[in-house]
Amino acid sequence: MFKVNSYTSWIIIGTLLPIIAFSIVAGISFISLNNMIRDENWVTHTYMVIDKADYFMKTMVDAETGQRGYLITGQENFLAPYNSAIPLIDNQIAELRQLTSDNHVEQASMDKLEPLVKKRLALLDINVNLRRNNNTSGLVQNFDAGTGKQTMEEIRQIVDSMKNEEQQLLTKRILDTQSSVQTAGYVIIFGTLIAVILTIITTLVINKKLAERQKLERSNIELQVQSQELRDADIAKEEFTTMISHELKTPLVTISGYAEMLKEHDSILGPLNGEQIKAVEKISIETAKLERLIGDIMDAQKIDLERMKFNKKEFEVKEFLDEQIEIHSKLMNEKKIRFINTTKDTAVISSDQHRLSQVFANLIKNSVDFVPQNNGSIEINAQRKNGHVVFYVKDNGSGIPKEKQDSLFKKFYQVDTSLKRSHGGTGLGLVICKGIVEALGGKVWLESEVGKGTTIFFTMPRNGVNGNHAEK
Amino acid sequence: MKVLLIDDNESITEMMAKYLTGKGHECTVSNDGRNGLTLIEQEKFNVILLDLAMPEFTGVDVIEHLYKNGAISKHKIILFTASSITDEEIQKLIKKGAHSCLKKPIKLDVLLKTIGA
Repeated sequence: MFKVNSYTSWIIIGTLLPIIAFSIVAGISFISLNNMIRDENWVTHTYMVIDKADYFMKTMVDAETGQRGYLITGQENFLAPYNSAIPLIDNQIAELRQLTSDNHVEQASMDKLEPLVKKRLALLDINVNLRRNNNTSGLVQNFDAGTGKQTMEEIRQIVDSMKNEEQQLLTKRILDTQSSVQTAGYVIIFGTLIAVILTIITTLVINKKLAERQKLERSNIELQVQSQELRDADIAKEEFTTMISHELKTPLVTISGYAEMLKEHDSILGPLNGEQIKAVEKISIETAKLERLIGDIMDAQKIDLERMKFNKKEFEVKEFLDEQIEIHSKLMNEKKIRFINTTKDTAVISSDQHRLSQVFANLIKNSVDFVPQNNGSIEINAQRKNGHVVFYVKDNGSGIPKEKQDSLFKKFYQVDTSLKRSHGGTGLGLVICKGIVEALGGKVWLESEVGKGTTIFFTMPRNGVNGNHAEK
Repeated sequence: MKVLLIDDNESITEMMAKYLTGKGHECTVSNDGRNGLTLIEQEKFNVILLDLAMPEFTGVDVIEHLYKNGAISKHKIILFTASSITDEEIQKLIKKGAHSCLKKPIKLDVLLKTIGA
């Protein structure tokens, strides 16, 4: 369904392949660019988390430092860092949780961090209150327990591990990005290279195909010109043949006219003796032959140029063949040839009687030329078969060798030149028969055996014409 | 009968005139179409034998002329042709008023019958 060697499919392939290659390159470039932007965002994000974590730790330390100053001095102004740090812490925790919401490891750390922070802040609060009430023994007890220091240490560890986690993630992401950028680079370079090569190849191929096509178009035009020249030559040939035929026929008028006058019983040209009458007879016969030959040449030309005109009428084949017997009976009697119509079929066909008579005249004339001198026999017949009527002319003549049968229906051909000499003729008779029969929708063929005779068959379509009698 | 023979070929007109005179007809010969037409207009002929293919002024021209004059119906015109003209063209000429057409070479007995018909 898709012919690869055709010009159009090459154009389609040649256009599509580079487009596909360039599209892949463009797609990969787009994806890796997007990855780079995403990674850039991740870097920012990581630094934000680390910043927040550092800030949170600083706030915690501020709270602890403020508390410590107050515990030592008992002066309220030392409590300022503590007081400003406390309200910030909840917010910072919430921000850290939100920033790390995509990472379950960090979230788990946050889960551990939050109670520790609460615990530490609660202890700071207790210590501040103990100092305010001057409960020194309680404070000492608390310091001795070391809970505050320990909690703070845990908090510091968790925050460090969170920062560490973020740092590791960032390193991994940067490595991933580097490798994907590298891959994208290769794809872009090789993809572009392949696309360019494909474009060059397809352009070359299309150019070649285009050149072939242009060459074909040129030769097509040349052919058209040539065929026009041939048509012109045909017309010139036809005009020439018509002119020659006219020129040849004109002297025949005088020749045959005088011959006819000389042959007449009471000839106005005076009486002739027996030998002279025979000579004039010969002139008449040869003139008639010449006349027929000129007619043959004209007919062969008309068939050649498909100019022959037909006049179709319905007629019964049996009656038609009876007429043929009548037309040629005089000649057959003279030559003592047995000439019979063996048709029984009463089929009716619609065809050109005049042209079919011409076909029979040619076939019969051929047979007459080839049958033996004494017991010559010619049989004509018509019989319906399938949608056709098959006609034949059968003789007991010398027959035609197998290898020469095919060329019989070709122009200017007779079995051999010796026959041409002994029987005369242009060899156009069978060509004309074939042309007429085929123009009327039939076929011609022959069966022949050397020494036994020849039968020439031809068909005529019945064209839906029904016989007036039942088929036999 | 008074017969006018128009054909550019002198041997043909000579032969035919000899034959037809022998058969008791009175023949006038013209070897030129234009001259033939002048004769037709000057004299009354029973039959005109007219060759279609002639140089310069052809038989077809003669017919066209007589057809335009309206004089064609007054004459019995028998045409000759040697296949230089198609059957359709012949039919047109017969429609215009020519009597019939004989194809060359002409059988003299057929010619004689056509003249008498």
